[in-house]
Amino acid sequence: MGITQGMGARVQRVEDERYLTGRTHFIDAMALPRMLTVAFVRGGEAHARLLGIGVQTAAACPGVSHVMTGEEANALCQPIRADRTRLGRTHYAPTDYPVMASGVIRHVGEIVAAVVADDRYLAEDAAEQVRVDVEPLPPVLSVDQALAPDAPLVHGTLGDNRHYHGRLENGEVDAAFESAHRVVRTQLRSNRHCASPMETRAVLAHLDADGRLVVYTSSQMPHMVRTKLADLLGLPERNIRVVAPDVGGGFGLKCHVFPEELILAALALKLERPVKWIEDRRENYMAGFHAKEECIEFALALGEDGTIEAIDAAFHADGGAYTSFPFTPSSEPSMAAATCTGPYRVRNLRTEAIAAYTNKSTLSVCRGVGLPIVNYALEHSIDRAAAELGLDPAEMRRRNLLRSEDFPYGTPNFTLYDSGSPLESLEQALELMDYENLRKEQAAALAEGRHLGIGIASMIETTTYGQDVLAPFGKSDNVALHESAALRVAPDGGITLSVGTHSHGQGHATTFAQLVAGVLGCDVGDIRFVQGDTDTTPYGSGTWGSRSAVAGGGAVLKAARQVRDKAMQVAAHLLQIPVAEVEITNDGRFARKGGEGPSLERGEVARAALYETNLPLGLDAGLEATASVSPRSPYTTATHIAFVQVDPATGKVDVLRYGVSEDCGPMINPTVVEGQIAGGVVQGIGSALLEHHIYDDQGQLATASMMDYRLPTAPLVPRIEMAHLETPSPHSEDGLKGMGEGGAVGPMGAVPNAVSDALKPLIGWQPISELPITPERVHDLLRRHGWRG
Amino acid sequence: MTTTECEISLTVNGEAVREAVPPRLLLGDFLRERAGIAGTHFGCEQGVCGTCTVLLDGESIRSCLLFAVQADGCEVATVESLASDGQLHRLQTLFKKHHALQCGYCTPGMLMTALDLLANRPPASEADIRDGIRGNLCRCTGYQNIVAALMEAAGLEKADGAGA
Amino acid sequence: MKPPPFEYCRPDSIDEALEALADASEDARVLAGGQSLVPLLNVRQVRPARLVDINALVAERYLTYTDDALAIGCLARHVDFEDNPEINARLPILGEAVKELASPAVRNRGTFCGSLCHNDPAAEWPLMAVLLDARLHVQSASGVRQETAGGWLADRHSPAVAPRELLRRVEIGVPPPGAGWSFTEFNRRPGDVAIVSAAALLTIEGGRVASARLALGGVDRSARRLHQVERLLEGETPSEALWSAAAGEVPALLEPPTDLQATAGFRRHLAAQLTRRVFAEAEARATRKGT
Repeated sequence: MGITQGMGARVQRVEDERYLTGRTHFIDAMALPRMLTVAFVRGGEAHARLLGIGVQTAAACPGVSHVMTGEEANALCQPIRADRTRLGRTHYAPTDYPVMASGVIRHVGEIVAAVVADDRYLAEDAAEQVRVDVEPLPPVLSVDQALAPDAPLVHGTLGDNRHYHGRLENGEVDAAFESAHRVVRTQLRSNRHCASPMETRAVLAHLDADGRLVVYTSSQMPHMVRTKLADLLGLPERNIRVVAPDVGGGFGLKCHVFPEELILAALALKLERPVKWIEDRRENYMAGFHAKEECIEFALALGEDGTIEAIDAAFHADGGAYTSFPFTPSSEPSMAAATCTGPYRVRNLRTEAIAAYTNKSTLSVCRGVGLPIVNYALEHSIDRAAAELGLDPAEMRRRNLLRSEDFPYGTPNFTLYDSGSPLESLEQALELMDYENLRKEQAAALAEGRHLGIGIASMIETTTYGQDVLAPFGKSDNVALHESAALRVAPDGGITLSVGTHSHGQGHATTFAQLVAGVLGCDVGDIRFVQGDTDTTPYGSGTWGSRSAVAGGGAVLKAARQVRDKAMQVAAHLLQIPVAEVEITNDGRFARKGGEGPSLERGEVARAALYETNLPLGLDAGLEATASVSPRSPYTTATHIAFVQVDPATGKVDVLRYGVSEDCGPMINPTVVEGQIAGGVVQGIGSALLEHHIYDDQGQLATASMMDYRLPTAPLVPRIEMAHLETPSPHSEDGLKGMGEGGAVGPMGAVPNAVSDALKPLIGWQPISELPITPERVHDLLRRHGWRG
Repeated sequence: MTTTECEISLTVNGEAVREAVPPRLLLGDFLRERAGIAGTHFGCEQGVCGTCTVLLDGESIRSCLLFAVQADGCEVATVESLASDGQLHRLQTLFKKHHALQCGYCTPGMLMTALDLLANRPPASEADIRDGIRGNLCRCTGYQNIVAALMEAAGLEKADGAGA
Repeated sequence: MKPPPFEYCRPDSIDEALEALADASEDARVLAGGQSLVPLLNVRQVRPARLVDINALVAERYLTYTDDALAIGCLARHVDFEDNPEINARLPILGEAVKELASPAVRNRGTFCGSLCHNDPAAEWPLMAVLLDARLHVQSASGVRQETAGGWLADRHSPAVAPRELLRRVEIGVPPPGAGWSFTEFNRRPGDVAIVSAAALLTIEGGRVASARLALGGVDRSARRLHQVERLLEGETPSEALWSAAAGEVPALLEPPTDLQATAGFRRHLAAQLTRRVFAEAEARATRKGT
C-alpha cells in the first residue's frame, strides 16, 4: 500500500469524516465551565476623536460581568507593531496598532470596548448601552486623497499618510520607452476585496489548571500568535498555549495577529474565567482586514514584433487604518511591484509601490498577494498591445514568454525564477480549450449576434516566500520563514507526525502523510497527524504564501528520511546484514534487497529501537526525528483561459468555460491540487465580476453583509477544466512547489481579457479599467465608445 | 405571551429534547448551546450563506432565521443524523470520494441542502444541481467537486473518480 | 448578531392573532415565514415589542381557485407555488417567478403574503400582485378591508402592513385563456433580489393588441404598473417595432433609485431592455384569436 499512497496518488482525504459527520472542533462548538461571551462595541465613524466612553448602564445590564474599555485594555496590552530593518532607502512608516481605539477612531468597526456577559444575546444588549462620545474628524477615503499635499493625516504623528514607498529601476527604461515602436500605457483600478472565509474569526481564552494562558483561535499561524501574545502581554512564552483547532478557511485573513486575540487573552487573565468571542459577519466585513484595492499605472514599451522592451509600473494601495502584523499594507503593492514582469523576458524595469493610510479597514494580504493585481495589469496590457499590433493574444505571448530552457532566470527585480514552463503551459492551455475551434465558435456566434470572448492570462506564482524573496523587504524580521516537522514511531510501528503549519482545508493530514508513506512504505492510515497546538508541535510560522508543501512538506520528508535511515541501521543489525543491503518493501517491511530471507515489520524495528533490546553499538535509543527546512522560493507557472459571453444590451457577463494549465512541480495528490485550483479560480472569478467592498463618502462600509458583498455561487461558474505539467524545483525537497494561491490569480487577467475580446467587434479593443466588471460598467464602456445597440 | 422562557419539546435527530428557552433564541444557537449538537454552524445570520441549513420536518430551512420556540413539536434533523451505526450516509461517502469539502465549515449545511434537493426537487441536470445549491456558499471548493458528488448521487453521471 | 428581546405568542386562531396584535402596548409584528423579518431582527434594525407567530394557523396555508381567481392564504409558502401543476396550468407566470426567488431553504419557509407585507420594490411577489391586479384582504381587530395591490403597495414604504394588521388573504385574477405572459428579472446572481424585474400580460384579438399589462420592479419605491405604456399598445399590431417603441417610452416614466447595485440611469436602461423582452415573449405565448 505504501507506494500506491505516496507521492502522486489520488488518496481520499483521511480527515474528511469528522467534517462530514459534524464532529468537528471549530471554536463555535467549544464550551468550558463558567465560560463568558464577549461582544465588542465598535466605532461607528471613519475618523473621530474619542472624547469619552460611558459604560455604567452597560455594566448594570443583566448577565454582564465586565466592560473593558481602551484605557484598561491598552494598559494590559502593548500595541501591535510591525517594525523592520534592512530596508535601505525604502520609506516604511509603521504605526502602533492599539488593541482598542486610543484617543482616535480610525475606521468604522475599530474596537472601542468589550462587553463580557453570560451569553452573546445579553452581551449585545449591553453593548448597545455603551455610550461613545466622539468628535468627528475629516476622513481620508482613497489613496489619491491620502497622497494629496493637503490631506488630513490618518496618524498625526507621521509626517504624511505614506505607510510604504518603494522604488526600483533596472536597465535603460527611459531609453527603451523613447525608442519603442509603440507604448501602451493603461490606468486601472482594482476593487477592495476580502477573504471572507465561511468561518469568521473566533477566539476562546482561559487559564488552565496550572494558571497558564490557553488561547484557542481560528488562525493560520498559532506559533506566531503565541509569540506575539507573550511579547505584548508581557508573559513568558512557555506559559502560553495557543491552539488553532479546526479552522473554516483562511485565505490570508487569518495569518495575522489580531487585537481580538489579545483582548480575549487579557480578559481571561483578568476575570480568571473562560471567555469566548465568535465574530459575526458584519464585524468580519468591517474589521477583518481587506485586500487588493489599488490604483495602477502600467506601461509597456514594445518593439515592432511585439517584444516587450520595458515595463514602467506604479501600484498605489489604499492601505487602510493601521499597520497589521506580521504582514502589513505594504505587502500588496510591494509584491505587485516585485512580480510585475510576470513570466516574460523583460530587461528594463521601473516600479513604484506605495501603500497609504486611509480611514478604512486595514488592507493586507489575501490569496495571491499582489499577484492578482499584476495579472490584471500585465495581462490586460499584453492583450491591449496585441490588439494594437494586430497580433493574436496567444502569438503575442509566444513572442515574450519564458520557456523551460530559460530557467533559472534572473528578473530585473533581482528575483531568481528557479524553474517552470510558461510557454509550454500556454500551449497546453490552448490545446485543453481547443483554441482554434474556440475562435471558430466565437466567429459563428457573432454571425448570430452573440458576443463571445476569449481571454488568456499567463502567470508565474511566487510560492513559499523564503529568505530570497522576503529578506529584501525586511519582512523576515516579523515572521519565521522555516518550517519544522517531528515524526515519532511508537512500539507498534504507528507514526505520529506533528508540524508547525496549519491545514484549514488544504488537506495536510493526507498529503503530508503521503510524503511519509512514500518514504517509510506505510499507509496514510498508519499516521496520526498533529497540528495547530503550540504545546505539541514544533515551531513554524504556519500556513500562508503557498508555503506548506515546500517548507512544511520538505521538513516532513527530511524527518521521515532521518527516521528511515535510523530504522535501516536497526533493521540491518537485527537482520545481520549490511545497511546497504536493507530495503523497505512495497508493504513497508524491512528486508534484504531482492526479498530473500527474513523480514521485519516496522513495529519490530521500532520496538528494538525503543526498548534497546538489540541496538547496534553506539546508536542512541528511540525512533524519531525533528527536522526543519529554511526554504528558497520555487515558482509555479500557469496559463488560464476564460471563455465568456457578454450581453451588450444589459452588460451581463457569463463565464461559459474556464481552463487552466498549471505546472506546480510534482503533485503530492492531484485531487487536492485540482481542488485548490478550482476553488482559487472561482474566488478569482468572484474578484473579477462580483466582489467589492464599497465605502460611502462618510467612510461607512456599505457592503457589511453577505447580501451586499457578493461571493460567487454555484450557478455562476462553469466546471473548471485542468491540465498539468510537472517541472520539479531544483530548490526544494523532492522538487516540490507551492500552488495554493495561483488559482485566484489568473482570472484577474483572463476574465477582463475575455470581456474586452467579446466587445471588440462593437467598439474595438477597449480596456476594462475598473474591477469588478459590473453590468453597468460594461454598459457604460459601450456607451462611452459610441455603441447604442 | 412572554419575553421570559418558553418550555418547548421537540425531536432532534430522533431524540426528544425538552428545554426552556427565551423566545429570541435562534434555532441554530439552541442546537449548539442548549442541545449540545454542535455540527451546525452560522456563517452570516442573514439567511444568505446556507451554512446553518437543517431539516425541519423533512424540509431544509435556515436555522438562523427560525426561533427555537417555533420548532416546538417539530422534528429537526442535523448533519449528525446522517451516519448511522458507524456507517456514513451515501451522500457523505460521495462527498469524501469526490473531495467535495476542504475546510469543512459549509459542509453540514451543504449536505442538508443536498438531502432536500435530492428528495424534494430531483435534479435532472448539472444546471439543476448548481441551481439547487445556489443558496449555499462555499469559499474553498469552487463548488466543482460538490457538484460532482451530487451528480453521482442523483444518478446523472458516473464520475470516474475524484477530481476534475 | 442576535435579535433584541421581544414578547412572543403563537395563537391558535385568527381571532386570537388579531387580538394579540390589537392589545400590544407597542409595535407588534406578524411572524409568518420570517425570511425577511428575522434578518432585520438579527441586526436589530427593527425592534417590535411583540411577535405574533401565525405558523400554528395551518388552515391559512392554502391556494384555492374560484372560476376566475386564485386565493392565497396568509400561510401559503413560496414552495407551494413550485412545480405545482395547477399553478402551471392556470397561472404559469407564478411558477416562473418562484424559481427566481431566493433559495430552496428560504422558499420552504417564506410566505407569499409576508413578501407583500415586506414590500421589497424588486421582489417577485409584489410584482406579480400588481401585474395581476391582486385584491388584498387586510384584517385587524376592527374588521376587514379590501385593497388593490397597486394602491396598497405604492402607498407604503416597506413594510407595507400597519403594526396591528394581518394580510389575511390575497386573490389574484386568472388571466383569460390565451393570454400571453412573460416574466424576467435581471440580477447579479440567481436568487438575488433583482436590480430590475419586468412582467407582461398580453391578449391579441383580430391581429391587434386587445389588452396589455406591464409591471416593473426595482424602478421605484415599490413594484408598479406602467399604465401609460399599456394604453399606447392597445389596438396596435404586435411587432418587434411596437415593443421597441413601448420600451422607448419606459425610461421617462420612472424615478428609479441609485444604490449599490445600479444607478438610476442604468435602471432606466434595463427597464427598457426588459420591457421589450417581456412583450416579445408574451406575444410569442399569446394565442391569436379572430385571425
